[in-house]
Amino acid sequence: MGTVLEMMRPLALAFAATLTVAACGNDPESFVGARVLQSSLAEQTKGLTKRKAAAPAPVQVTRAALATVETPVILMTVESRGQHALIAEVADNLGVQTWSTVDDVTVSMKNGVVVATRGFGADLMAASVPNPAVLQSAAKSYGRIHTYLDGTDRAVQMNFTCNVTNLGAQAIEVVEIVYQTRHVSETCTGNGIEFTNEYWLDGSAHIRKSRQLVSQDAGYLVIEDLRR
Amino acid sequence: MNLRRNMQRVASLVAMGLMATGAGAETRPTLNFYGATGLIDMPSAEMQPDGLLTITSGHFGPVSRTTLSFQITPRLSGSFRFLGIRNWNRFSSCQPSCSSAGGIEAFETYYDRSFDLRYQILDEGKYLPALAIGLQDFVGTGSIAGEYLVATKHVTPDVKVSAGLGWGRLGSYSSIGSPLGDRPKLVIGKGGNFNFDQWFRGPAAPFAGVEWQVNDAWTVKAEYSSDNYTEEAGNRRTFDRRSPFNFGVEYQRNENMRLGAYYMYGSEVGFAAHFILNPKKRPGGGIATSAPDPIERRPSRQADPEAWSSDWLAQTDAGSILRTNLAKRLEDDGILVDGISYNGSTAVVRIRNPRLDAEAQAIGRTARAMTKVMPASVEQFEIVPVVNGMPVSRVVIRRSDLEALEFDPQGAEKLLERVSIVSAPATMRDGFNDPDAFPKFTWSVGPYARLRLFDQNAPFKAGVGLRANAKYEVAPGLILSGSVTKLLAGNLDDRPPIPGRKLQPVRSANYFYDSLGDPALETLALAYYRKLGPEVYGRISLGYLERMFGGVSTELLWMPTNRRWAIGAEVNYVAQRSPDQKFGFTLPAEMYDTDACGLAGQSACASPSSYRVLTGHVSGYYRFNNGFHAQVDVGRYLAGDIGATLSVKREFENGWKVGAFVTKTNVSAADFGSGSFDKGITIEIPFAALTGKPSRQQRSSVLRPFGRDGGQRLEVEGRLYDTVRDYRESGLDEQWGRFWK
Repeated sequence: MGTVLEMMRPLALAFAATLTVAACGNDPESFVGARVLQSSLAEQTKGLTKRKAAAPAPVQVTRAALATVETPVILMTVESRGQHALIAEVADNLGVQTWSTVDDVTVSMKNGVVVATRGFGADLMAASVPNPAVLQSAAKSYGRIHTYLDGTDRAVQMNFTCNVTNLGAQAIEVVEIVYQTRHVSETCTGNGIEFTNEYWLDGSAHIRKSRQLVSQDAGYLVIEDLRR
Repeated sequence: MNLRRNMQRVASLVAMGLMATGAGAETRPTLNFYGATGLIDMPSAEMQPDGLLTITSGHFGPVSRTTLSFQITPRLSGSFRFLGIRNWNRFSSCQPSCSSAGGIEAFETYYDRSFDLRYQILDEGKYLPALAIGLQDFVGTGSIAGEYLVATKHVTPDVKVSAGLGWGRLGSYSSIGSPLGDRPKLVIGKGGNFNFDQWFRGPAAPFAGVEWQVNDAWTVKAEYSSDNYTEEAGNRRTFDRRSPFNFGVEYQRNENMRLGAYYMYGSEVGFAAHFILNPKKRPGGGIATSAPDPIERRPSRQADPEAWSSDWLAQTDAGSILRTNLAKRLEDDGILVDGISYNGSTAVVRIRNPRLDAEAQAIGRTARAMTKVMPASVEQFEIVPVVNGMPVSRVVIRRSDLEALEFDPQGAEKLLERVSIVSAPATMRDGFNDPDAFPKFTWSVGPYARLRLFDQNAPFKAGVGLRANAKYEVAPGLILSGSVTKLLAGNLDDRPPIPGRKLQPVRSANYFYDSLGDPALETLALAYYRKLGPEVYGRISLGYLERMFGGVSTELLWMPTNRRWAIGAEVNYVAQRSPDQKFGFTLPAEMYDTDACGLAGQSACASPSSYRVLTGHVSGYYRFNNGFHAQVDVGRYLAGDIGATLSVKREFENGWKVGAFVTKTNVSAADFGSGSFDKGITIEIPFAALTGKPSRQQRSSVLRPFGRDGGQRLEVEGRLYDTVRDYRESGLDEQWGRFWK
């Protein structure tokens, strides 16, 4: 037993070697694993603040530090990795603002609800989402559409049916400031998937904090609005 | 084991299957020792998910099988297998001097290759079972040939029962007679022929089995095998077949790996490992690229009339400033901006994309960058991808569509409807060109692997080493490139048996090329590419074109717009290179050595000291609308033989390609040698699919059961069809979803 396996070993090693060992040179075609990109989520969202997943403790972002930042910022946490990044607005296309980390990971939001992400790998390509008024009223179910790319790069629209549950008033702290908010959860089902987004809305129906799904593979983002 | 008792057990298993009602197919279709969907040694009527590629390595007692299987369509699957049986001549009458016995008796381990095809006739229904028909080892020596008809039905959501009737080796134990007539004796010859008259003839025997998927990870299996192992167990006593019953337990380690342990035929322990690749899935769920530029929406004309002014047109350095700004934005994606031209409302940008695997993504990122850079009055963007100096197509996009559809859930489809993709003109060099684009020198050093498969005495030989590539782009389309290799480790130096031959060893001297050419000048050639008309492409290559041949290669390709077909012609005049792969074309007598001549005590081989040949083909290409692609090449091959090649590939949008080819030339089966004619399997795996990072590199493998000299083509780099087609409409459409990524 094992003869064929033994013979396969050099084959496997050789194959693995050519795949995993990065080439070097100045030819852009040859940069397989080297410079091209910070591949994984882990690498992509680092560069700002990095923390362990288990620690829900506040980041070392303080109001004092924020005072030195000129552009308005949002604190984004990639839940599955426990990584934090400050994001700043870089574009506005008809009410959809795109916010970016310094290392080119972006989240686009309409009235605080995520409609697209880039740089996460398994990105949310586009979405049709509820506005905060719908989240507040929570009268009946409504539809949500998420567009993802499948493994062959086709854009696939996934339809979900969502319901909002009012979880009552809650005081939350966002970097040293306490806000009185209404805690609302949005549960969506469809395509054999169920996910729950959460929102904390302040008195003027502004989403102060939220936890929203990017995709099955990339998981949830926690978004905290640090603007005054 | 007596026949009646076995038959009763089979009957009760089948009865269980028939009693079953309403149980849905909820279990995973698993693989057997042959790498076919099935039980342990027996097949089932299930199919794998469409497009799945699996590698199975199964071993019990003296038997080892390594199988590559592909779910060609939802109902059709095929396999290519390499098998070895140890102790082959241990109890043979030729002992103790079997090594000199010659023929099949000389092998301590018997190796063979085989092809299978299976077709699912019926899906499993509420009451009806799934039904499949299969041909195992249906071409060639037929040493493990068997045919079957099998049914599979779930009796509970977790338990399925299979029962079938086998012929050939699957009808060799407890047969019920020969329902479809006698099986004629197999005339093997040089192998490689379809054994039509054998199929479903001779004794037939029933087989059955049951499979219980305990949970997502664990499965237990039991089967009654109709394979008597007459040759292996009976005649050659390589193992003791005591019982027709096999039992196994399997563990699904993850999506890509399944392991199994078995108790086989009442005497042997077996194990199997299955590696599962799904071309339709990406690791991590998506390609990891950094975020693109967001679309920059222009201010309205009323709000900012100055932004809309066309004063910039009068500015003499506007073109070079715009080009430079665009190039800076696209630098991180590896996209090169060769040049731009414009008038007040239209801007034309020529780009090269050496990195992004999805061509549509390169177009999308260029369009996004243009919204940032171009003055507001420019409404029409024309993006022209250029490959090897040839402008391939013109992608015309309205800027307002980009602004409107950036966050539309149907943005990809809607934009594709509004975009026009047409053939680019033959030359486009006007406007503002990148002054640093040419000449340009690039180089890289990386690892490489060389495999020698199916060497007779070892199924795989491999070497790993370093390859240095250099490329000097003198002017658009004029490229001097070369590569040098140095082996670092491996067993390519082991001399395999080299059967006698009748043709010039255009390929079968590969052992000498492997062992003498280290380091080797693999290629060194000057190539000139040029578009001769909007739909006609041309190429001339001159130099050391591949490791075995050098000379001149010329090619023309006609690719009409919006057609599924293309026609090309290639004419080459080449000489065979010395196996040391330096600069010479002198062929040493040594490289003609075979097992029949040239060695000590044998007569010398015919050994011309040089070999030149005029070789070329007319090629037709056709892209079916279901992901299949066909190519026919008719012409003269390297050994001077004349014939045709048919290749069919299943192409996935993300770049995976799995195909098969056959070549028949005027070389007789006897002159060709083992295998009778050239055939094989091709697999192309894009690096991007494995690493999740963008790369245009890919790994292509060709598996030939018998590598001989008939029907061999020149392997020249830069053949036009595959060079340009990714950037044409059909190529861009395939991964259009990536436009917005």
